[in-house]
Amino acid sequence: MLHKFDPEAFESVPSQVPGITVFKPLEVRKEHKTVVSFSCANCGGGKAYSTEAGLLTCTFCGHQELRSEGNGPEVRQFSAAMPLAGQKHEFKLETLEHARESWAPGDVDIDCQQCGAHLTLPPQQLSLACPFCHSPKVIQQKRRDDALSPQVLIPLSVESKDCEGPAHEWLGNHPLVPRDLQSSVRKAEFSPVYVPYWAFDAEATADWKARVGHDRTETYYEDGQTKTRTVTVWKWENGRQERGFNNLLVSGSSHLDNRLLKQVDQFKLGELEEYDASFLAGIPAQAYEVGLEDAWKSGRNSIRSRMKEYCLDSTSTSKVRDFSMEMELEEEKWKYMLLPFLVASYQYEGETYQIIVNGQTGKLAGYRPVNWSKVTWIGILSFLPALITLIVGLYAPDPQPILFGALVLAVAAGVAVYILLKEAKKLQG
Amino acid sequence: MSQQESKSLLDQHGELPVYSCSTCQSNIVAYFSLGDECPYCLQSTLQPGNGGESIHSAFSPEAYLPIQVAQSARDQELKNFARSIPFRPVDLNTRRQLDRMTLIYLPIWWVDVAVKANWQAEVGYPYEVLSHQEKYEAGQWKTHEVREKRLTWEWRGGTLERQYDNIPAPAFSFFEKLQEATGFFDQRLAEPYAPESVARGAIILPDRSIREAWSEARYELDRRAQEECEQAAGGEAIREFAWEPEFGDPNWTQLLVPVWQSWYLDDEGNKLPIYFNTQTGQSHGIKRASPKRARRWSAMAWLSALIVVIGAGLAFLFVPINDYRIAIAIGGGISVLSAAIAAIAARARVNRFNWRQGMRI
Repeated sequence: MLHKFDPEAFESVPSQVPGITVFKPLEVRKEHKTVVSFSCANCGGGKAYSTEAGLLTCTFCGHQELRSEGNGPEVRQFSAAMPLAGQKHEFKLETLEHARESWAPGDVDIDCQQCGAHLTLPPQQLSLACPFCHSPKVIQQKRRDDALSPQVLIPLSVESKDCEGPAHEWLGNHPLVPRDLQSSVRKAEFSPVYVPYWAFDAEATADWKARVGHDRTETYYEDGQTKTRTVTVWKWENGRQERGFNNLLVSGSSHLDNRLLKQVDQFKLGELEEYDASFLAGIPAQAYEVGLEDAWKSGRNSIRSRMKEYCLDSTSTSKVRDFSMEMELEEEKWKYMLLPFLVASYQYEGETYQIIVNGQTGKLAGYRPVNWSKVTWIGILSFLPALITLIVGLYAPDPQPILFGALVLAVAAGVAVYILLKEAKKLQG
Repeated sequence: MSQQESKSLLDQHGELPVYSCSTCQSNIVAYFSLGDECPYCLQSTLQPGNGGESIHSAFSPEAYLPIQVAQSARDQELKNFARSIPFRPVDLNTRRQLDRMTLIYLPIWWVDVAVKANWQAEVGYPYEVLSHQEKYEAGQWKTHEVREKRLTWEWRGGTLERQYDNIPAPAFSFFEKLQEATGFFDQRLAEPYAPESVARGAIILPDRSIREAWSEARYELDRRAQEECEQAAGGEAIREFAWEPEFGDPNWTQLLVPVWQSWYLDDEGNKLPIYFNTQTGQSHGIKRASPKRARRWSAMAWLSALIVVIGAGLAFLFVPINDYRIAIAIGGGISVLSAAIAAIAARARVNRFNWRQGMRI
């Protein structure tokens, strides 16, 4: 059964053959607003997204309004034929080319509809509050490829005030931090922020080949005696590992510390929602700075090392030489999204330290100062048993076993100090 | 043939006389007098027919295909045809076939029709995607990028208002089989019909009515419309094509396709035709080996064996040395055995060849 042509539902496209007309289903899009402002219908003040009710709440009078007010997702007919929002995209050469294009050169000029102020902001900024009237604004710059504009996000569900207590407690719960850290730092103020993220999928198939060592005990005769020795026999082995990677997250921001982000960026991606400007009302948000190709390179590096581990784990013994592998990636797909975090910083003895909280799960990570005198003392004390044993050994009638014991203790102390320093450095970032 | 000569053949209605074959039921016209031998089935059952309006209206040529293959190439193909038959019949000796070579024209319906339609389909548009192959060797990673072309399917629809000319449909039952065996005729090479151009061959009239031919023409129209809609939409592929066409009054004409024909007699005296495609040069015909020749060959083999046996027997009697006798006995045995195998193989080969050809036919 053929479609009945409803002129309003179709749009004409150029035909290459005379006598044949060609139509395609019309994509009914809402008028694109580059700047969306949120003002209260009650008092005219600025409205912000409220994590408690999922509504827009006036920051002045507390009046609440439904969130998606005339600003919902694009309405599309023939939805079956259209790509769904939030669906994963293939690495089309055309999209990659668009993703390579930098943001519009220079800053973006906007006029505040609330107070008329003229504002200039960097091109990657997606939301801001007018510095004069504090009205929240969301900037929606048109990209050549829709997929490169945020299409999905996880709504912020952790409030700033809920982070302060746990963060304060976290400051003092490590033995290497200064004792007065908790008391001398004022309660950190957390600011919500949406961070751009790339999520990648791929099906990896790796064929590996390596020489694997198998230990064998041999008996031999020497000086008229039967002796045994262990010999390693190297044999070529090969195998295949097939793994699927889903939603491998790579940050698109170069502003936040990547190591901290990695510690807290475990999100429940089943709760992704379609992008709506009102989610960003009153919450700073940024578009990606790390491009699609660079992010996927980083994602592939992660897949590489994980596949290498899987391959090495599948060898028949842990002794491996001349390892090589060839990995093919299929069904490579990506999705661009905004993920919520709460960020705070505090100062201690003139140094600034960052704390990041997952805006969905509340998981916290951050840097803390290290009490280096404590670390030094622990280090010295670790070597003390070895030193005492050494002195005892020097005066003992049979010093050899005692000196050997001192050496063992010194090595153990060295390892302990190494671990301690590593932990201290990690703590301090 | 001059126009005056061709006119002299016309009957009282001003039409070419029509001949009818009572064996194959073919109706045939020609710009020269035909004897009683049907140029299609080769039986001597051809008679001048009454013509009649229905038959005359069935002859409406618009174009013909000129012969593309040189006669030397055709003659070589005939030689190859003959060589491919083991123990070929005595009558199949190339020279005779060349003497018997005639030209016949087989018809194809051509229909011109105006079409108005609504159409819709999924049109495939190409795009390229990037995938990766990673190689780890000697502690180093190497990346190889692979580009792959894929299609994205998008709905398209519209209207079509086109005139389709010269849509072919079979007009003669045998023609499709002939094309399958000898290759397709390129109808783009067609030239406008003129009596002088086809005057050297007998023209077989359609045995399929335009009603029967319409379903094939419709199939071709569907195919062309689908192809053009894909082209109009700027795609590289099309699927789920559907249209609701309204056809104007079709105009039916014919394209005449020249085919060389010759024949040979098998052992039973049946005339077996050989056809030659005048564009590809390929031949098609029933290949029949001669069992009579195989039997003769077999008898010769037995006779030779008998002579060898007699010769060996005499030698056996007159040669006194035992060692020679043994050699003669062995030689004689081998010769008889070889002759027996050759005799049986000859008949078996002919039977098998004819059986396989029978299966193929």
